[in-house]
This record gives sequence, structure tokens and C-alpha cells, in this order.
Amino acid sequence: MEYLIHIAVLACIYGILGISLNLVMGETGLISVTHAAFYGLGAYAVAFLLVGFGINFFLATLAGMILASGVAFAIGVVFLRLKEVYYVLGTVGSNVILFSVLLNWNSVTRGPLGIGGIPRPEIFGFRFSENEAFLLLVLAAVAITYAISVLITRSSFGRVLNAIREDEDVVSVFGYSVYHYKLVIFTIGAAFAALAGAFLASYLTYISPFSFTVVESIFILSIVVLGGLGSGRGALIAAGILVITPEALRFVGFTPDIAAQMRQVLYGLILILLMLYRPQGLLGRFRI
Amino acid sequence: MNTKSKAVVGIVAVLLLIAGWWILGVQGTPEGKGPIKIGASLPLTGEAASYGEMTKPGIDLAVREINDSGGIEGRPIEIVYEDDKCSSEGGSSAFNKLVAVDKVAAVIGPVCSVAASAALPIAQKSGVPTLIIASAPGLTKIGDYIFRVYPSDSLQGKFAAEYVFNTLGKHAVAILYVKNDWGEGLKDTFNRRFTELGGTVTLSEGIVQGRTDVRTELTKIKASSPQLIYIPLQPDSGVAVAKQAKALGINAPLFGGDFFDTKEFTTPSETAGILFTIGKFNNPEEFKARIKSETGADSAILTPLGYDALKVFAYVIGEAGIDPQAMQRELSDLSYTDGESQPLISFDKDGDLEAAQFEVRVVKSGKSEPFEK
Repeated sequence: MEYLIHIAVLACIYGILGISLNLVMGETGLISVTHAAFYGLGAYAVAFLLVGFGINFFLATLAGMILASGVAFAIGVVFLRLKEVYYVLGTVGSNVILFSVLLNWNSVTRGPLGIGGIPRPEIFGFRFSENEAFLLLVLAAVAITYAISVLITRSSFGRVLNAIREDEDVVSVFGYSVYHYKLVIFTIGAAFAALAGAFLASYLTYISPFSFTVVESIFILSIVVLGGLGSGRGALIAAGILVITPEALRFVGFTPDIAAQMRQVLYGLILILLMLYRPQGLLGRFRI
Repeated sequence: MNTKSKAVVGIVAVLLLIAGWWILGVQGTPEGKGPIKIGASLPLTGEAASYGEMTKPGIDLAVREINDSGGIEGRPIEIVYEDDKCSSEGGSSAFNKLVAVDKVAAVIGPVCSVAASAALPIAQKSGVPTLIIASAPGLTKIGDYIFRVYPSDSLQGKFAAEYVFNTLGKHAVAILYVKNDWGEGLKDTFNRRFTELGGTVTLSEGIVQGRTDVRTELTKIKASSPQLIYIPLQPDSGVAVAKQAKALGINAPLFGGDFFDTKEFTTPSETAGILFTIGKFNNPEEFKARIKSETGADSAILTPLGYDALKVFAYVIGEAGIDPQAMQRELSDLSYTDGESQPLISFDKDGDLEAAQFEVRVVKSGKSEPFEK
């Protein structure tokens, strides 16, 4: 049971990441390969504030979300003016840069050693130290993230985002400032990525920069693609699948000599098959 | 949602239910009879897979020997391998599964400090005795159920500094280290001890794991004119440094860490004559032959450690049974002398090796051998 709860917590964390990237990538059509960096900023902000200053988890999380939004805003100001593939490469570059900062700024991040001993969240004297309680907390966070994502997509703001995805030029002809719309959603997406990071840090009680590489960004991106562009629910289900499949494959009785390798092969195969037979993703209505 | 989407969601839900039922159905170690389960959390895929591949044959051989001779008081050992991918999330998942699903009596590993840092709090909280092979300083301080059969990096860095200063008589040293927990740990402790002794560190440069073009760093190091360059690096970067230092005309000798004791590093002709420190472990020829004939693998530095870790657990379970507290007490007071890797395995109050010893080896004709000055 403990193990199922562990998997559920991880699935929820990736669910938040999926939903938030879907806002940027699925709803607005901005392919972003830097989501793991914002995820990392949230995780490090919480780790730093909790371990270093004993600040309450919820305040630290808020600080992490503001920090990530600030950084996303700065990155967005520069890169959102770029077109298509140049913009995508720009986001890859910013992930690499932020990863290097986490890796090299030893006095704050402890570099490659990472930060350990991060306490679990506490509110009104109640500590979420048991995984069951922690799962409820993350579930609440997923629900809030999902609700906000639905609110955004159903608003007139969301309709403009969808229009940007379909045809930027038309939208600007109608008098909307495409650039500012992109900037706002990019910043909001980063804030929720930081929320996921805060939960990761507090759940694992230890973080190191190696959890926030470009590879992780690509993993989050594949959650959105698998779930289907423009579907928050799809992102949630895809996060579940991508987290649970490799864990469930631990129970397929391969001989120990090849089990780990076969697990990776099967995992890749499942993804390929899903993309072959459902190229629009599980619940998606659009293709890139 | 259209019907097709509903079908997709339905299929996914059914699959999840099956997976959950399956996971709940796995049996742990029952009291009194049946096999004793021991977990092993190793990197079996990914960048660090070689550490897992080195450790596994040792564990396999030990399991086979114990089970062939009738197990522990009639109960065979069953080993459960989990891949921790050398990552925090992987380590956490592997330990959660081993502890909660397989209900193992003890765990061997992780080998990677990043995986260990996230996984060990789980072992400590559930009270599962764990023998780690990861080397970052501080890991054993996570709790009293954590023991380590590999010397901590802090000891190795200190030993290297003393050897370079006192025995080699070099007092101005440049450092080129790999930016991971291991490289950083060695650099820090080397730096501290070396300056304490009165030496100067002319320059300290870090490179990311996997870098094989180090000309920029070497040029800077050359300009700082050190008497020796300390290079706690992974084998691939180490070979690159050896080649590129020659090309740049750097004459200062190179001095590395324990990862250089692999064929990958000792085979290229450029690495001949390079010294490195390593935990003083034995890898006897007779043991190598046994590993080869039983598992078909070559015995490398971590192989005898994996073998000893399992044998230590078998010994402890034989003495104390599978009660975690009794096992913990037995490990604290352990004084195990039948190991292949070292003459005596006993732990200090933190759970670190009490008698950790190091030696300096030199690369010579494609192999490494003990160095005598």
C-alpha cells in the first residue's frame, strides 16, 4: 500500500507539471523545453528556505512560485519574440543555463551534493509526515491546478490563447498583443511548475540538480503530447501512465539479468505504439 | 468526451486496477519459513549502469554459495534487484518498493550518492538495515540503520592530500574535478587538508560529468604552474586529460581517484604512469576466477564489495534472525573477518568503516598495480 501511495504522489507531482505545461504548449502552442528548470527553481526555493531559515512550507512554496514566475518573465521577454524553432532552442538554452546555476552556485544550492533533510509541510501544528496525509495534500494541489487551468481555458483570455495556437497573425490583425498573451501564460505555467517542485523537494526530502535537466523537460513535454495537446485531463492521465508504467513493469517477471534493461525497452515500445495509434494523444483534439 | 476518449480512459483505468492488485499481491518475507528476501538497489540502466554491473555478480555469487550450502538455518536467500537509475526519484521508488512491497529483511546499495540521499530516509524510517556502497560524506548520518562498506570520500580526499604533500613532496597543486557529489567531496576534503598542511592550491576547476574536451581548463592550469595536478575525474574525462595534457606540453604529474581503476582508464597508452588513490580492497585472483566461472563476469572493484555485503547480511541474520532491531545491534558490534574485499569489516558509531584503508596505485602496461615510492 505504501508503495502505491508513493507512486500516486509522484503521479500527482507530474500531473501538476503536465497540466501547467499544457497551458503553455497545448492551449497556446508554445513548445517549451525549459519546464524542468522552473520545476527545479520551486524545489530549490523550498529546500533553501525550509532548511536554511525554517520558513513555513506554504510560504516557501509561494516564494518559489513567485521566483519561478519572475525568472520565466525574464526569459519570456527575451525568447517569446523569437519565432518557432529559434524560440524552442532558446527554451532549451535557458534550461541548460538554469541547470548550470543550480549545479555551480555552491553557496546556495550546495552544488552537486544537493540539499538533504528537507522537512515535510506543516500547518497549524499538523505535520504531513505520513505519506497518506502528504498524498491528500498533493491531490488538493492537483485539484486546484486543474481548476485554475479549466478557468483559464474557458475564459475569454483562454480563447485568445487558443486562437494564437491556430493562427498568430490573424489574432494580431484583430488587435490583440500576441506577445503579451504569450508572456502571461508562460509566467503562469512556470508558477505551477514551481508548485510541483515544492512538493517534490518536500516529499523526497532531498534534491539535487540532476533532477532538473533538459531530459526532464522532455519527459514533461512527452506527458503533454501523450495526453493530447489542449487537454488538461489528458495531461493528468498521461502523467499517471508515464509514472505508473515503469513502476508496474518492475513486476513483470523478467529474469533479473535483463529485467532493468527490458523494462526500459518495453517502456519505450509502449510510448511508440501509443504515438503510432493515437498520434493526437489520449484525449487530444489537435496536432502540433 | 467522445466515445473513443471514454474507451481510452476506461482501458487505462482497468490497467491501473490490474497493476494495483498485482502489486498488493506480492508476498514479503514470512516469519519462520520460506525464503529470506534481501533487496539490492543498484543503477542497472543509465549513465552509471556500470557500477550496478560490477556489483551484481558479487551478490549473485554470494547468494548461490549460501543457497547451495543449505541457506541460513534452512531458509534460502532470495535477492530482489531494483534499478535506481542513479537518480533521486529512482532511489526513492526502488526503496519504497523493496520496503513496502517485497518487505525485504535488508537492503544492499545504493551505489550512487544521489540515489542514496533520497532513499536512505525511507530505510531509516521503516527500520530496514541497509549496507550502502555510495561514498558521499554524511550519508551514514541519516540514521543508525545505515552502514557503509565503502570508505567515505572525506577520508579519501584527506589521504590523497597527505600523500601528495608528505610522500610525493609536492606543495603547489592544481585541482581539476568532476562536478558531481563524488568529485566535489574529494576536492573539498583534499583542498582543506592540503592547505592545512601548508600547501597551496594554485587553481581549482570543475567540469561537468562526461566532458572530454578539457583544453581550456588545462591551459589555465598550465599558466598557474603547479607541481602536480589532482584530477578526481571519471575515467572518460581522465583519459582526455591525460592525452590533452601531453599535447599541451604539461609536465606536472597527474594524480587521480578511485574511479581510475578500470580497463577504460588503464588501457590507453597515455595514462601510463598516472597515480591514483583507492580504498584498499582486495580482489584476490582466486575470487576473480570463481566469479568468472560462476557468473561469467569480470570481477572489478565493486564486485567483492557486493559479495561481502551479502555475506555480512547472511552472517548477521544467522546470528540475530530477521528482527530488524537485533540485526541493527549485530551490525553495530560487527567484527567480520571472512570478507574477500578487506580483512576486517567493522563499523564506527556513524556506521562508517572503522578500519578504512587506502593505497596509491600506478597505471602500468594496461593495468594498475600498487605504487611504491
